Amino acid sequence: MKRYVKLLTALLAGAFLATACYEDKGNYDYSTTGDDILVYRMDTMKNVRLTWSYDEEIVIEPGYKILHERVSESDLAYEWSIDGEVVSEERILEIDPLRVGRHAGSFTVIDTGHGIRYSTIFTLVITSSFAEGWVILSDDGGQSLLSFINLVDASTPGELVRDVYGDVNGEALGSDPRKIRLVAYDGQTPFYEWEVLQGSGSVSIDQATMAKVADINTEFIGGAAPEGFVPVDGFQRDGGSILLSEDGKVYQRDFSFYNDYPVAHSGKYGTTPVYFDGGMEITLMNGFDHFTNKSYGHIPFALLYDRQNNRLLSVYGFNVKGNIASEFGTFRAVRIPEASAVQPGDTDPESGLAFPDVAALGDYTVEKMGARVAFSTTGVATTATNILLLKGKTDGKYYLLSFDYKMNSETSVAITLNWFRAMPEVEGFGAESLFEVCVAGIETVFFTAGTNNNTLYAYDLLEGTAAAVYTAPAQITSLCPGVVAFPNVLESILPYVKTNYKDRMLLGTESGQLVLLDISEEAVTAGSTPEIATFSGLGKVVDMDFYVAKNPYGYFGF
Amino acid sequence: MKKTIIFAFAAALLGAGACSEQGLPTYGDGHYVYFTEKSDEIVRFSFKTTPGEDTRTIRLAVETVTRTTDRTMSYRLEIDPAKTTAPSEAYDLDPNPVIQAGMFTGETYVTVHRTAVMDEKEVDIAVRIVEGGDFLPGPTTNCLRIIRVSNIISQPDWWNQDFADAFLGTYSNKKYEEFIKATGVSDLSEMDNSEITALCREFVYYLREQRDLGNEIFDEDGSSMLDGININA
Repeated sequence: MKRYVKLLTALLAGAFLATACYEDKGNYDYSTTGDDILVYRMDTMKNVRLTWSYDEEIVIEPGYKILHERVSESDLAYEWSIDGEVVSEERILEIDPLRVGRHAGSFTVIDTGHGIRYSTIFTLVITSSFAEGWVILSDDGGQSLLSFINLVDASTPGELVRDVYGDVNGEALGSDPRKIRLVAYDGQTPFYEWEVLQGSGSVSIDQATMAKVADINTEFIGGAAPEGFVPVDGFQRDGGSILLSEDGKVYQRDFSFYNDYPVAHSGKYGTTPVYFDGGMEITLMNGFDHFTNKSYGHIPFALLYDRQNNRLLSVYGFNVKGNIASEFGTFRAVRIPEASAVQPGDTDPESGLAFPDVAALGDYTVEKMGARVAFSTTGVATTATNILLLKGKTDGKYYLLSFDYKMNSETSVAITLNWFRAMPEVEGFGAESLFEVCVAGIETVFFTAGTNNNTLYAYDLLEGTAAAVYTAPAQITSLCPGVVAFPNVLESILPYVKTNYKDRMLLGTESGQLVLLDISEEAVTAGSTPEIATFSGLGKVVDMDFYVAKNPYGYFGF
Repeated sequence: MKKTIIFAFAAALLGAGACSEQGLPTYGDGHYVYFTEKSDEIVRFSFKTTPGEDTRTIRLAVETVTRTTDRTMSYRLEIDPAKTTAPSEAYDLDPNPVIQAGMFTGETYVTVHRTAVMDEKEVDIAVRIVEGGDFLPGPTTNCLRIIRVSNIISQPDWWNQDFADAFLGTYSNKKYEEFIKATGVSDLSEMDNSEITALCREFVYYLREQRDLGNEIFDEDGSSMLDGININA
């Protein structure tokens, strides 16, 4: 009983907190039978913007309809409130820019003739100047440095803003940087956070404002991360999240739900690492954290490479609300079903090589992982085409394995072997090389090789050929393509989709340069990805990620 | 939560006292001591929940009705033979129960020893506050505590249907025993959801590891204990 009192208290607290971030969901208006006026929900109106930049004057024209003739338009008055204060009594809201962050608003139509008020609530998101573009994590003499480049348009980068975290938060970020990730919390209006994973203690940062949200190490039960924990990757869906430590251990947590949506940071990571059948030591992870959400379809899993047992595992993370049957976090071994047309051991007709078994890779190890989106439809799980870089234990050569993977539910899994072939032999390609699979758009894998891994190559997945497309002034240490096009997108979704910057990739180097490259199909085919802009002075670039403002019904990132 | 209720109750009493001339009974000028919990609040304990332990200290809170004193004051405990079914070697009472100087509350204890009879059934240790030392026993409803002890496991209140559906499935004594062995925890009633989730997953990892070691653990009905677990892990 005590537990339920606590749960109830937590629920009420959660409800209070959650309402600061979420609007009510559901396809309904706030009128009830007998209402004389219907006030439309802001987030259901296509012509209403609820996300504004920190320097924009805010203009919102609301929608309402008089339902009964006894109400006259001339008797109506209006009231706009932001964060509890009345800011306008005009029909159309026109106010000065608001501070960066999220603001709870309400719009009320007052029927002065009958003294009745009709309201709707909304959340205004005010983004910082760091809202759209690339975020760069670098190692500046051992210290973590977070920098930012926005894009004015598809071909015009803005300025490099160094140390955005320090500017906003007035403190140092930390040290021993490992990775930057964008994580999504679904909601009526989804919102996003950056996670900087680093040895000195990782932090969550509000995407829109760059303000620090939480110390991730404190989000373990007991308030401290286990000994030896150094996060190097993670995966998050509505139901929860996992973090991968450099020692191969994985830690897991679940979120609480309010109004069917996850409450940010509501769960704590267990301090006992996940143990799956046969044990596990995870060295690679590839998850579609924020690939899509809402009704566009989804890829609710991450793949993990278990070096201890030389096999692939997956972790399920359904992303549509929080019903009990689809909670986050079931681990399973990836296996080719017996009914599949292509079985491990079968020969790839093009390469003449025998397909390895993903459940027991035998003579191969997995060196890199990436994935493309093969096809997506509204409301059902989306197929991912995984591209794995394997290495032969005996011949030391590299190979590429492609297979489709799709999870309709935790127990409904489809997996199909596509092809298995040798990776073209390129001088200097090895353990230090980068391997970046374009999630969509041109069917290309970018990788680095050459002297000190300073040359960028493009591998054509269709032709099976590789060609050098750019040479950097130093070792290339990070690659990050921009937003990519939706594949096979439905007509109904298309208007919501933002595909800006799909032909751009940012490249970072050991010596702190950044190069924005044109990776359009024309450029790649021509064998040269020209520089659009260069930047310098960051220290070793460790990782990068990209964010673009979007309609909640469609989002690409990876 | 218990503390919260007590604080709320105390605050309510204080508030009531501010408006009423009657106030609380004071039992005259004597010093009275009594258990905080009423006599019908039985303390249950099973050695099964603390694997490897043969002795357990059960703490019992006491309160007083008295004027504050600047000296430590003693009171007296006795076993109530009419209500005690445990053999005498199964317990030791606090030999010197006291209320510290300046305090209105205190704590005493009973040391419980595991005995053979506890493998068969629950036995009661009835502890009564009796006149002696500096105190008289307080209200009769609060002068007796019964400690019901065994080496038998039984379904805890928190393992209800909701818990079974969301976490560890249908209760069995064996599953509960293994859970305690795996996690070292027997009481989830004061824990939040994250803590419960983490412990239940720890249990799943334990069962998987035991299976890998060739020691698969089966439930009382012969099925694999892993099969009856509901939490995603």
